Amino acid sequence: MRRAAIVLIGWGLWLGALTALQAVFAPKLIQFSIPALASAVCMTAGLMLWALDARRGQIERPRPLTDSSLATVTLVVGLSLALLGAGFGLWLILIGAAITALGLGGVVREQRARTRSLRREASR
Amino acid sequence: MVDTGTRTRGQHLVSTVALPTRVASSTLASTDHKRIAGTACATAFLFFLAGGLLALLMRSQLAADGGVVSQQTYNELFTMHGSTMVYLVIVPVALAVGIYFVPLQVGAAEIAGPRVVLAGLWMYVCGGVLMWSGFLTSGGAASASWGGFDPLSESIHSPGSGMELWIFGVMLATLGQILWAGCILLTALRARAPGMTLMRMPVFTWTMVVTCLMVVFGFPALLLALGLLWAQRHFGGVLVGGAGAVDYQALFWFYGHPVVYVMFFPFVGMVGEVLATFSSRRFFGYSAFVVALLAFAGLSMTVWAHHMFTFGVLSNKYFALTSTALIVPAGVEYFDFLATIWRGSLRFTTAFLFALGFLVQFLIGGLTGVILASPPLDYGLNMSYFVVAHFHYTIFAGSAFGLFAGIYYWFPKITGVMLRERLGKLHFVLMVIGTNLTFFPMFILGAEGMTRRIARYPASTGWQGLNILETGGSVVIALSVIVFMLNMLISLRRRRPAGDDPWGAHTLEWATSSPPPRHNFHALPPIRSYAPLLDLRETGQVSR
Repeated sequence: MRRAAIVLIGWGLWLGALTALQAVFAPKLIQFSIPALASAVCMTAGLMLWALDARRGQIERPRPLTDSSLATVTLVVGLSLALLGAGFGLWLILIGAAITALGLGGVVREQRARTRSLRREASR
Repeated sequence: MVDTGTRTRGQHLVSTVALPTRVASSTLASTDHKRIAGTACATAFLFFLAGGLLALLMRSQLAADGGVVSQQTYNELFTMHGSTMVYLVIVPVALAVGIYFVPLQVGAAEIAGPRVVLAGLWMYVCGGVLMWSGFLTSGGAASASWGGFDPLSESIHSPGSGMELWIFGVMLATLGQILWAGCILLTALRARAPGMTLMRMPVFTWTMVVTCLMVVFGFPALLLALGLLWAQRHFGGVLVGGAGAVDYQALFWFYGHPVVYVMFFPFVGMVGEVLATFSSRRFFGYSAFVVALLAFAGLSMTVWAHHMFTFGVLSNKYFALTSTALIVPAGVEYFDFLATIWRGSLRFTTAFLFALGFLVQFLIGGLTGVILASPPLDYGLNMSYFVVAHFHYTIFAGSAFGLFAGIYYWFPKITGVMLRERLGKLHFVLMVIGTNLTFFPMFILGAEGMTRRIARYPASTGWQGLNILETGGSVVIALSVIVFMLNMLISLRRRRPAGDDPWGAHTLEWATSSPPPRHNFHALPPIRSYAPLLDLRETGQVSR
C-alpha cells in the first residue's frame, strides 16, 4: 500500500512544478502562495501516509463496522447550530454546544462499544 | 449490541456490529456508504428541482421583457440558482456516486471512515437548509452571486441575515464535501482488495481519485475566503479596498475553477465505463488516460486566475498558458473515448446515448473555453452571456449528460431493477433539444454584448426573440426531467429484475448482487486487470 502515497507525493510535486513555473512571469505573492501551500500540504500528506503504511505493514487487523451512528448526526447538528450562533448570538452557540456535547458523549459510547466488540471477536 | 456475523476476504477478517437502532436512525444515521450516498443523491435531487425552478423563474423574467420580478429578487434568483447547482447539486452528486461505487469498484467491504462520511452528509444537508432559509428572512436570500464577491457581499451592500446564512451554509456544505473526498481518497488508496493494484483500478475510480485530490487540497481555500468575508462583515479591516477584493477573488477562484473539474472528472469516469461496456471493448489507452487525468487535475489547479484576466493585476500570460495547456490532457481523454468505441460492437442503450451526448456537447463547452482562455478575447466576452453559455455547456450539457449516462447504467445495480429504455430515450431526445435551445443562443447573445446578471434589457437591443427561444428550451428541459421522474417511478413500481450484471460490464461492482449486500461482496473474482469481469468472460470462465 506504500505505493498509494506516491499518488499524493507525485501529484503534489506536479502541482509544485506548475507553481514554480510562475517564477518566469513575475507573480504576485497571493497567486504564488495559494498553490504552493496546496502543493506542500499534498506532499506532506503523502509523506505521512508513507510513514503510516511503513509502520502498519501489510497485516490488517479485524475492523468493527457500525451499522448506524445517531451520535455523529447529533454532533454535526450541534456543531452547525454553534457555527450559526456566530452570526445570530450567544444563545444559539450555547444550544449548539449543548447538543454537540450530547453528540460527543454518544460518539464516546459508540467507540467503547466498538472496543468491546473487538475484544469479544479476539477472544473467539 | 449484537454481533451480526463475520466474513473473510483474503486474509482480512471483518466483523460487523449492529448498534441498537430504530427505523429512522437506520436510514438517516446509517453508516453504510450505499445508504449515505442514496440519501445524498435524493437530497441533491430535491435541490436540483428547487434550483431548476429558480432557473425557470429567471427565464420567465427574461422572456417577459423583465416584467416578472424586481432586480433585487432577480439577484437572489441567480445567486441561489448558481449556489444551489454548484454547492448543493453537481458537486455533492459527483462525490456521492463516488461514495457508492468506489468501495465496490476496488473490492472493499466498506468505505474508509464511514462515520466521517455520515458527518459529511449532515453537514451538507444542514448547509443546504441554511442557504435556502435565507428566503425566509425579511431581507431575502443572498444576492451577491454564487461567489459572494467582495465588496458586493459586505454588510453595507448585502445587509441582513440572508447573506450570513449563505456564508455558513456554503461553509458547512463545503466542509462536508471535503470530508467525503478524504474518505473516498483513502478508500481508493488504502482499502483496495488483494490484487487490486493502483493500475488496476477502474477508470471511474481513477477519476474519483483526481477529483478528491482537488477537493481536499483546493476546497479549503473557499473556507478561508468565506471566513475572511464573515470577519470583514462583522469587524471590517480584513478585505480592504481593491487589494482585498483581489485577495478574496484569488482565494475564491482557487476553489472556483477546480470545482468546475470536480463537476467534470467523475462524469468523465462514468462516460468511460459506459462507452467501454456498451462498445463491448476494453477501455482504450488506460495508462495514458490515468496519466492524463493526473496531469489534467494538476493543471486545473493552476488556471484559476483566468477568471480574473480583466483585473489586470495577476500574471495573465501564465494563466493563459496553463488554461490553453488543458487541451493536451483533454485531447488524450477524448482520443481514448473515441478509440474505445471505434470498431466496437455498439449497443445504443439510453446510457450509451447520454454518453455520446456528453462527448459532443462537452466538446462545444470545452472549445469555447479555449476562446475564453485567451486574454484579448476574454476582455471582450467577460461578464457576457457567452461565458454563461460556455459553462452551461460544460456543466449541464456535459456533466449532467454524463450523470444521466451513469444513472441509466448503474440504476439496475443500485435498485435491482431496470429503467424503461423507451422512456429513457424520450428523456434523452427532449434533453438534447431543450439543452441546445436554451444554451446555444446564449453564445450569439453574448457575442452581441448581452451582459449577464441584469433583470431587464432595453427593447432596442433586439434580444427578445432569442430570449423567448431560450425560455422555450428551458421548458423542454423541465419536461425531460418530468419524463425521467416518471421513468423512475414506473420502473420502481412495476419492477423488471435486473440480475447481477444486465449489461455484461467489466468492473467489480457487477460481480456482486443487485443491490449489493451490506458488506458489498460475498466473494471476489480474481483481479488481473482493470476489467476483471471482462477477463473472466474472455477466458470463458463466465458466459456472455
